[in-house]
Amino acid sequence: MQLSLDLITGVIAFVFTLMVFSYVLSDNPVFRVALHIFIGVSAGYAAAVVWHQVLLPRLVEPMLNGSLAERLLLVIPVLLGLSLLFKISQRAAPIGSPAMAFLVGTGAAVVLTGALNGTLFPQFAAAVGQFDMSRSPDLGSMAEQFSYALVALVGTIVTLVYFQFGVRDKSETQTTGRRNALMRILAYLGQIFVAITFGALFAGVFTATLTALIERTDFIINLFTGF
Amino acid sequence: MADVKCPMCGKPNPDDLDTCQFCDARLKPLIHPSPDDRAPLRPGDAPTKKDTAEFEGAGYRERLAGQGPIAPGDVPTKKDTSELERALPAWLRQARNPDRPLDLDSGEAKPDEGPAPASEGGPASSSGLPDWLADLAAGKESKVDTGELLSGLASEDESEVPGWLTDLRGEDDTSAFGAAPEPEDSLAHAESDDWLSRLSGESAQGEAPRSDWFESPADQPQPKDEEKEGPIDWLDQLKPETGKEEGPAPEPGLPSQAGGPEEEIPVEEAAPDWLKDLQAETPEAAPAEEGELPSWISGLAGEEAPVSPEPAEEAPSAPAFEAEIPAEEGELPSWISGLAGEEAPVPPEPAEEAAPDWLKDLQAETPEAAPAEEGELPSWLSGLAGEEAPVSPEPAEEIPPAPAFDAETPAEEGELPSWLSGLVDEASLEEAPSTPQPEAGLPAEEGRPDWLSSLQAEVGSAEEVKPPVEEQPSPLEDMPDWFETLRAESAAQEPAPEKDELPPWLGGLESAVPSEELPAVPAFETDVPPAAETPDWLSSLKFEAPEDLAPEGGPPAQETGKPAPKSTPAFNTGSLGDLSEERTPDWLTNLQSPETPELGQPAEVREEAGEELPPWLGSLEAESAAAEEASPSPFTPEEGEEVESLPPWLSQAAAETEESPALGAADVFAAGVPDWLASVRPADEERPAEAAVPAGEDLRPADLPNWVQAMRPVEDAIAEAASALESERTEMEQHGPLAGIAGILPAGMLPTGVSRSSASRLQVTNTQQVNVGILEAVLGAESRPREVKRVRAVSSLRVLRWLVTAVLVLTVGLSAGLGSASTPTFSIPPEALLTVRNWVDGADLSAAPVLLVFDYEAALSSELEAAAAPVLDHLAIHGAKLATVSTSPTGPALADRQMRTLQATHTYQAGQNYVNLGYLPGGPAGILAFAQRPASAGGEAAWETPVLADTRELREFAGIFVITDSVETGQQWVEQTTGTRGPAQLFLIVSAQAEPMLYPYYQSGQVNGMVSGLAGGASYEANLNRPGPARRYWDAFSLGLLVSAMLIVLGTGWSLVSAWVSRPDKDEAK
Repeated sequence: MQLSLDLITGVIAFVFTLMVFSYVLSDNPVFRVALHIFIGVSAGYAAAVVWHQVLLPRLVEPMLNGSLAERLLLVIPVLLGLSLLFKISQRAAPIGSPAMAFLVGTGAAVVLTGALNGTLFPQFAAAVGQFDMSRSPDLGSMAEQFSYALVALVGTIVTLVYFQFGVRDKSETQTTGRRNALMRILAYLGQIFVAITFGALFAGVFTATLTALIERTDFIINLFTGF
Repeated sequence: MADVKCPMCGKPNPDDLDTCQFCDARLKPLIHPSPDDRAPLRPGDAPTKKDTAEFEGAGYRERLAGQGPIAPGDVPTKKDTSELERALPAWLRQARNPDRPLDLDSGEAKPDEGPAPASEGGPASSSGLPDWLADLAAGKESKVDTGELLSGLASEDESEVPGWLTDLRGEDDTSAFGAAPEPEDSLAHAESDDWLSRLSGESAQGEAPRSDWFESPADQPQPKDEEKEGPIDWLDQLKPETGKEEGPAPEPGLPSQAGGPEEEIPVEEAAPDWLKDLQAETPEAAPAEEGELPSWISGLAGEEAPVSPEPAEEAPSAPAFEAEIPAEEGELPSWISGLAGEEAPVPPEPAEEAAPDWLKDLQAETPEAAPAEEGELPSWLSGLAGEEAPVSPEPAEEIPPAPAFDAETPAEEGELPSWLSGLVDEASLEEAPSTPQPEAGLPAEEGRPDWLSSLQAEVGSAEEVKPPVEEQPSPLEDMPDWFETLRAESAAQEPAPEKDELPPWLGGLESAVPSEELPAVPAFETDVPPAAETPDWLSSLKFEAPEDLAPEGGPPAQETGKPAPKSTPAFNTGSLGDLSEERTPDWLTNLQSPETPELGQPAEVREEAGEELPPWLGSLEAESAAAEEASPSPFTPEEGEEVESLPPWLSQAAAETEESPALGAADVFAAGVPDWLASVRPADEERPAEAAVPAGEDLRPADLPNWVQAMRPVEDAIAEAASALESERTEMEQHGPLAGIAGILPAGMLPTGVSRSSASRLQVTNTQQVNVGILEAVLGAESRPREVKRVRAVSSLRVLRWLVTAVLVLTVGLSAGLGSASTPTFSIPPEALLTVRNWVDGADLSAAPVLLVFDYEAALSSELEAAAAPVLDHLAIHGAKLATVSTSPTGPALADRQMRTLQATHTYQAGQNYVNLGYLPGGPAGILAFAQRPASAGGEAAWETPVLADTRELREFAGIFVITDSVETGQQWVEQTTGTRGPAQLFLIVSAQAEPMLYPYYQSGQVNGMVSGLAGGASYEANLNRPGPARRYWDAFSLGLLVSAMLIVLGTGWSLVSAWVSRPDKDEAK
């Protein structure tokens, strides 16, 4: 029988699949070995990807084949990148702090800007826009839309109330530290909304993992059925 | 007419002048004649015999009061004593009536009176008056000092004070004494005794029937008749005893009488018993009274006889002196008796009958003295008598009755109060060295003791009047050092005195002082007041007086013609030195230092004295050897005998005073002074003789008080430390750069560290210890690994897990293995999916490439591949150019894998139909950078492929399909490409787990369509009617979801049942 690459890879895939499935029994070394192999392979593959797709085409080749201007411009990122290596040593860690600060600062700025422009304001506008009944052609659609919008609004408010843990001490006799009844009710509603959200998320995770299980099962079946 | 030398300027003056014609100094004392005064007895006058029977057997005072003696048991009757007031001495009257001032001249109270000459103030029948003495002690004389006390006496009661007492004042004021060298004969006996006459006859001048010194009181305007009459009687009785009463007996220097005995005392009537005894001792009248005389007086008398070259009967005063002593000797305290013994050498005539044994021994040496009185003399006084007997170098006829003062002292010592006795001791010991004046102006020898006679003889030898005086030896034993030196200097000039006549101490005087400078012999020596009238303390003072009464620069006897007061310190010391130590009380013996040498004794005496001779005297002996050899002292053997008879305490005191008068006084003081205080006294400055003593021989450790001695161990510790340091200093460094240097700090001395022993232990209470234990237990529990509870190998939960797994696997496996597609898909696909399908179907995908972002992990590739596969198939159906990019490193590989799957159904080739741009580093920043400049990713070659050849910006892509399993990645692509994607549509192919989080972006319009999970893919395939992997997984997926839902329900039901079963009962809850 001629061993094809797909058979080898299929056998390896099957073995590692079983190794991962061994976790069903308990946390076992086989699972850990498979886990470490996956992590290592992923890291190695990532390093290879970074080398081949980032460093080599964006640093090495321009340094070797680029113009003087390109080379001079690459000095700064090279120095910043090398300075990050000093983070390994505790004494020399401050050397890499400027590069780290640059990265963090830049990333924070990018994230904040993208969050404001891509999430906060559009989501705020979308939440408000749900109450725009102009998009609903009829009253039923409008009621449906309003209900959705109201649920979304209530769900947003009660969820925010749920995460409000502060208590105002209005009287000296109030020593329990409990929120008032309204806040407690709203928080409870918010807790429901949060639970539904987490349920949806869990369902997504479960469906994702179930899909993986189905795929691995299909793989195994196909593997064994392929022979 | 003889000239009187002025005591002040020293120039001669006619004797009839009262004041010096040159300096107006008074030459004669002012004496107020009393009505009873008789004409003074001049030298050469024969004293009239008086009937002194009244004195016999009765007290003097009683006689004065006209009373008989009060027998024991008699009740005294009150008498009018107003008449007797006059009989009292002025000072006594003053004491009785202090408001009335004294008249010094008359003895009466006087409003004001100038200072009387110091020589004034005679004894005046000084009756033993403890009352006035008490007054003096309490009120008048606040000062304890004897000299001041006596000064007060002289100033206030000078006319009444006995001369000898006045002379005591001269101890302190020698100039005053010198200014009035004329002794005042206050008592009649001074005028009437034979010895007085002899003294006057023996005076150097011999010009007047009385001596010059005696003349001076006689020349005074008011002769004291009463005084003359009084003592004459009893002195007359004494005269037979001396055997020289007829002769002009000038009074010897009686300084005590210099004050003028203005006291009108009828001595004849108030003669005490002892005076009677004296009378009896006289050869003529009182032989039968020998038995009444104390033996010591007898001894004195006995000793005196052989001493004086004159016959024994020529010493008339000796019996009187002896008679006084036994009268009151019984009242004398022992120590005062000792003091009296010190000064007793002056009276050389003790009565053998009354004398004690030791005095009898002395008396045996003087066979001429009245032997009948030996029995009454105390032994110690006999020694004194024997001691003084050799003093008088003159013949017996010329010896004046000087011992009167000696007789007074023992007679009244018993009355002396203790405090005054102390003063007596102090005065006698302290002032002794300060009056080393040589004797000058010797009085008539008949009334003087032998020693005084020797002085006179010495003076006479100097002036060729009395050669025997020059032969007197110098009693080095009694002389201080300085006096010895003086003596040595004058030894060559003066012929040696007669050894047999001069006492050793007087010999010292003789040799040391020129005869011209010899002070007058104190008159007190001849003053013989009734012993009964003289208080004891006065007697003791009287004994001390001769030491200091000698006036400095007093006129010599030849010039003044008056009795020169004998006032040498050796007067006492010499006699004391001769006293035997047997009689010395123990306390006084202790005062005597064993090393203390006796001063002034000649070699012969020291040989006889044997051990009593101090060693330091040997040096003095060498100096005075020549003089002593030339004038061997006739008293030498006698002194040796006297030493034996001297009471031990007296001998000791004498030895001390001989050594150094100041020292002796200090020692006496030290007897009553604490040890530490005694050591403080500045004796070194006052004792040059001691300073000469080599260190180490005589020095002894000071007597430190206890509290000082308690500090002495500190010195020991210091000494040890010093020795240790010294030993360290001597060590020499052997090594190192300091080699050869001694005294460096050794390395071992340097602190090398903190020793553990020096660490202080923490003081912890029991409560703190308990708390510490609790804390230690808590920390130990934290660090100790927790015991893992052993679980059973197969638990219900694990079985359950296994069961669930098995159900799911079996369900999925069976579904997948069977390849069934029985389960229907969603009939109405979700709107978001439809938007995607519609956009793919409606978009022109040939003009613009579609960007596929593969940002998911390989683990979730099955779901995302199943979800993305119908979309990619749909795109490929529309011939869209595909460009793949990924922000995950594994993304490019997944993209390649997906493209290969696509290539299986479609003829898509890399670079032609699709291009893999690779990996976008930097996360959101990389996405932003790619969104801003997509050409930076994947290299220029990718952008030159037909897929991307016309595309340089993000907006130029027809649509962007983000395939991701992460919410964040979906958000980043939405957020970072919001402003740059332009008309490009953004679609999300996401995992089912990210759908709930990214679905709002679809609702908000930021995402144009969304395909979510396997269900979305299966729906999309179903919508396309192109079954794919999604559909194949769908049955399994659907069955798996069903089984999972069932398991969830079962699990929930199991939990509820378990909770229901495990809930506590109400009763138990209560």
